[in-house]
Amino acid sequence: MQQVAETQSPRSSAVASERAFAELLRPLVEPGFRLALAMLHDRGAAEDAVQEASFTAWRKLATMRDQGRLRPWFLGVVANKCRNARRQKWSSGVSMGVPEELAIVSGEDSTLRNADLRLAVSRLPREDKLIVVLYFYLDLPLEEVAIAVGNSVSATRSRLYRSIKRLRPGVDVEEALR
Amino acid sequence: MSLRRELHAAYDELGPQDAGLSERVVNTVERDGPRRAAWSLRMRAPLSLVAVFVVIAVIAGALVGGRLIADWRSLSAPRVPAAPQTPLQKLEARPLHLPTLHSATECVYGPWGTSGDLGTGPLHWSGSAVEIRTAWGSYFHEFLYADGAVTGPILVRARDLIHGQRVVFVGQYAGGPVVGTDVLDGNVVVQHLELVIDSVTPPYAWQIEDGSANGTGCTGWQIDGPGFTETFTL
Repeated sequence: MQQVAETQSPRSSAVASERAFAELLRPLVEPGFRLALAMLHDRGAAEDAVQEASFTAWRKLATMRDQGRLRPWFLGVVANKCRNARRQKWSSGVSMGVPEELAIVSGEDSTLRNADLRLAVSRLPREDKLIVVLYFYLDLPLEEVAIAVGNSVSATRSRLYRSIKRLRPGVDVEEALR
Repeated sequence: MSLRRELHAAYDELGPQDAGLSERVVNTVERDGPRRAAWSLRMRAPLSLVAVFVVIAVIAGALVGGRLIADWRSLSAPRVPAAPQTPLQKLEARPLHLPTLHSATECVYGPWGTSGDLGTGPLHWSGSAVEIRTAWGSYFHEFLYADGAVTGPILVRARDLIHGQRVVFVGQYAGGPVVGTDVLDGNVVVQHLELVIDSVTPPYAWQIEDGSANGTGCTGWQIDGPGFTETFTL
């Protein structure tokens, strides 16, 4: 990914540049979609968010000073699109995949456990949730997570620790980070 | 099961990615990107003009209105002896030690602390990529934290170093003069010129919200507290 990111800017009208942009963008779509799905819990909205983020990338990629940071930058754009999508779409809450009442019931069923976990993550502060999803679900290294959320690594780490303590009280943080 | 595995299971359950999604997204951008960029440019120029006129009208209104109110108050208000200053008023009385720049090329971010965040201490600023846009301008969620124990109150003020326009604060710690209102996430928020942290308690970290209209991206910040004044540019 890093090697691809160093190729030419897409803003040139040359066909070669368009191809280069396609090569840059293609590997980012899948993680972008997973991030959007985790943030929005809606496949259609997630696809829309990734598409909008891709348009933004198309317009702004040439202005990026450090294209080696392309992946976290793009994921940050996706996160912003998700936020805008949620602001436009709802004001009360997102769907957890199952009704919230059901999710509260302590279930042995894995579907309910998963819904409970998604609900717990969705109740984190927005940036904390983004950090958790990027780190645990997209498996990004902490340095890239920090770039995506625009924080220092130390601040990102402390917020991740705090989120883990909220999600899994009593669990050893270092253990949970694995 | 580790938290990582649990989260994978929880989110993977929402459904796998459509195999053709990458191609579809890329093709759509290649097809519609130039058209959308042209539309954006056509829209942006007139909107920028409107925004400039609105800002000029607001500033002119504020200046004229402020002068009239000040004159009226000076004539009508009875003279009273000055009250003893509170700790916050003493901080507010400190002048802003922020430079004025002529262009963005003169803007140098810093100074940076050892943690990689802005500010050499005792307080540090940690930014965020999260920008909330409204018709008025843009708001950001930031993070302010101290090296260790500090005492309050803490006063934060900021302004654009090129235009001179003050940064506004909304939310929990917004304080000082009110300069307007806006709608943020569906809620009406009051814009203040100061950020005031009265209750300075562990863990000495605060999430703050600030906003700028038509900012140049170069702002100077001054943090005043008992026994210290700290400035940085971001």
